[in-house]
Amino acid sequence: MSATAEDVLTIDREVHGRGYVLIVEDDIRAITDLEAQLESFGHRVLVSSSGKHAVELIEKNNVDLVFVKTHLIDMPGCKLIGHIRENSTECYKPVVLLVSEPDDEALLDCMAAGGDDFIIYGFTPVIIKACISAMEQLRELRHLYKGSIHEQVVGKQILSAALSARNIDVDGMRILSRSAAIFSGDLVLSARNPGGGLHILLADFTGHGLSAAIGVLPVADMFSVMTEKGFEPEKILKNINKKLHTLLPTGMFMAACMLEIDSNMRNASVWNSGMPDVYLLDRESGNIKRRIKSTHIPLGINAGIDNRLEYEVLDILPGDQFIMHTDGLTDVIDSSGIMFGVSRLEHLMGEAGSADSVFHAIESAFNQFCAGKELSDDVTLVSIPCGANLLQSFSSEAAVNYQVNRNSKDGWRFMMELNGPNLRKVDPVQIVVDQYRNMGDFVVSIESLKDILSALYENALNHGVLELSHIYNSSEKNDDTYREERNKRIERLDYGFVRIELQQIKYQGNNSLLIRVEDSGRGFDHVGLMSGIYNGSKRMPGTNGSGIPMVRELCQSLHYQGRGNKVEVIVDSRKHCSINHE
Amino acid sequence: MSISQKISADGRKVTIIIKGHFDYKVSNEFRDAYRNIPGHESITYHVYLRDVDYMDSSALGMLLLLREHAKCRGGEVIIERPSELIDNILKVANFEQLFTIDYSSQVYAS
Repeated sequence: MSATAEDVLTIDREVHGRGYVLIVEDDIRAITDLEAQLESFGHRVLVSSSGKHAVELIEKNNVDLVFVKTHLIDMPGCKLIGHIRENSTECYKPVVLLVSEPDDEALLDCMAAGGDDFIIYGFTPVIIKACISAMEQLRELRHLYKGSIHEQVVGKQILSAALSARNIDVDGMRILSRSAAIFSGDLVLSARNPGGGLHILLADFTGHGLSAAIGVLPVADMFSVMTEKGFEPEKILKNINKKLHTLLPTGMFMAACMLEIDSNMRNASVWNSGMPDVYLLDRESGNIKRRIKSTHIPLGINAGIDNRLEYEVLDILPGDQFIMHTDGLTDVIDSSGIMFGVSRLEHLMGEAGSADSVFHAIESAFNQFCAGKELSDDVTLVSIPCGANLLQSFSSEAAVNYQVNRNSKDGWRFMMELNGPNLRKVDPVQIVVDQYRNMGDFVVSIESLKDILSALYENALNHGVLELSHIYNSSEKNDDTYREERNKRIERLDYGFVRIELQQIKYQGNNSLLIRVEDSGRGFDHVGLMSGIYNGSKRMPGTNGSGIPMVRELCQSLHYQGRGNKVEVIVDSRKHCSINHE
Repeated sequence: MSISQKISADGRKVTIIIKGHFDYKVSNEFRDAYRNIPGHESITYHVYLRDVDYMDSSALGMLLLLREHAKCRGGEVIIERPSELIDNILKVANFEQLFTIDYSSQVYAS
C-alpha cells in the first residue's frame, strides 16, 4: 500500500529524470560551452534568449533544472524566477544563476526571489557537474519534504476526525484555535456524565507540532470514556496524569484546566493544573466575577498525585460565561515585539459590555494583533456560556438520577436511576461498578459485584420494565422469538425506570454491601422463584429470575419485596471470601 | 540569549546563568551546561534566572530534565532570582512544588 522513501525517489527519477535542462541567456555565444558540457553529461538541453520565451518553454516541456542569467533582455532574472516558483508547485525546479560580474547586486534579488545557487562565468566542467549534483540532491530533499508535509496533513485529518467523534456538541460553546504547525498541542474536549453534567477540558502540551500532539488521543479517550461512565473530574485527571507520566519523556507534560457544570446549572467546579487563569464572567456586564488560578503542577510530571486535587466550586447564573485559554493567546508577540498580554485580555473582557460579546471582542483583537504573522505557539480560546440551552440536548425527563453521598458516620450510599430511553442507551452495571471501584471499599470483588448486578438488572429490565415474562409463559417458547420481541420493545422504550442503589452497611457486625434494585414493572412470581431456589430446581435461561440462584450463592441474604419489582441483596466480606475460596 | 556556567572550586556547586530568551532554541546549550561535569556526585545546580526576559513551556521541560539529572546523582536544583515575569510562569506551573526557589540569592552578581 505505502511507498517507502526510496520508492518515491525512484519513481521521481523515472518520471522527471529525463526532463530538460533549460538555459536562459541572451548572449548565445556565452553558453555554447555550458550547453556542450551538459549534453556530454547526458542531459537534454533547451536554450532561450528571453524571459518570455523561457516561460513558454517551461509550460510546454518537462523542465527540471534552469540556468538563468541575472539580467535578461526583456525582464530581470528575478522576475522569471518568481514566475517559475509560482507556477511549478507540483515539482520543484532548482534555479542556478549565471553571473558575469562578481559584484552584481541583482544576484541578491534573484536569490531572494527563489534562486538556489549561482556560478560565475569562467566555470569549469567540474563546477557544472558539482552544481548539477547539488541541485539533484536539493530536488530530492524538496520532494521528501513535500511528502512529509502531505503525511502530516493526512495524519492531522485522522486525528481531527477521531477527536470530533469523541467530543459532544455543546450548544453555545465557541472555540478560537490557531496552531503554530500542522499539528496542534492544544486540545479541547467535551463530554457529558450519566447525571447530565458537562465536562470540558482544555489542555496544552509542551511545545507544538507532531511531538506535542502525540498524547492527544489517549487523553481524549480517557476523558470521554471516564466521563461517560460517571467518574468525577478528580479521578479522571489523576488517571490522565498517570498515563501521561508513563507515555511522555521527562521534560514533556500537559497543562490542563477542567470544568464541570452540574446538570442543574447552578454549580460549576474548576480544576487548574498549570494553565492561565480561568475566568467566570458576569452575565450582564461581562466583568470578571471569579478568577481560578492554577493550583497544581501540570499533568504527566509526577507519577502519582497522592493528595486531593484542589478545585473551586462556583455558583453560576444563567448567562454567566466561562473563558479559558492557553498561554499561546497572551504570549503572542506582534511585529514590534509587544506581547498581547494578560492585561489586554482582561481589559477586553471588561470593555465588551456583555458576556455574550466577549468572545468576539477577543477574537477580533487577537486576529488584528497578529495579522499575517506566523505563530510560535498554539493558541486556543474557549468560551462556555452557562445558558439553559447548554444542557438542552439532555432533556430532563430522560435524565439519569445519579447521586453519591459520602458521610463518614453512616458510610456511603450511591444511587443511580435510569429512565425511559436511557435504559436502552446506557448500561448502568458498568457505571455502578466503576463508582464502587472509585469508593475504594472492597467488601465484594469487582467481578462478583458485576455478576450480581448484571443478573439483577437483566431481571429488572426484561421481566420488570419490558414485561417479557409472558412470552415464555405463552405457547411460543423459542429463543429467537424472545430475542426479537426483546429488541423490539427495547427499541421503542420510552417509559419506566430501573433504580440501582449501593450502600455501605454493617450486617451482623460485618462490613457489608446492601444492593437494592427496583423497577417500574408489575413484578413476577418471586415466591415461586425463591422456593424453587431452595428446592434446588434449575430455571431455563431467559425465564423469570434466571441468574438469581447464582446471586443467592454469592450473597448473604436475598429478599424480593412487594409484587416482585424490588429486591434487596446483602453481601458481606466473609461470605464473599468463603465463596472465592471454595 | 546566552548561557554560561560556573563551577565552584570544590566542584559541588554548578551555577547556570541564563540571559535573554530561555526557550527551545537553547535546549542543547542548556543541556551542555549540566552534563559531563567531571567528578562529584550530589552536585547542587543553581539556575540563575534574573536576566531572563522570556521563557516558554519547553524551558520548563528543560528544568525538569535537569531535575531528573540531579536527582539521579543525589543532587538538587535551586532556581535563583527569577524575574517577576519568569516567577509568574513558575507560579502558574506551581514549580515551587518541584524546585527550591531562592528569591534572595546574592551568589552571582552581573
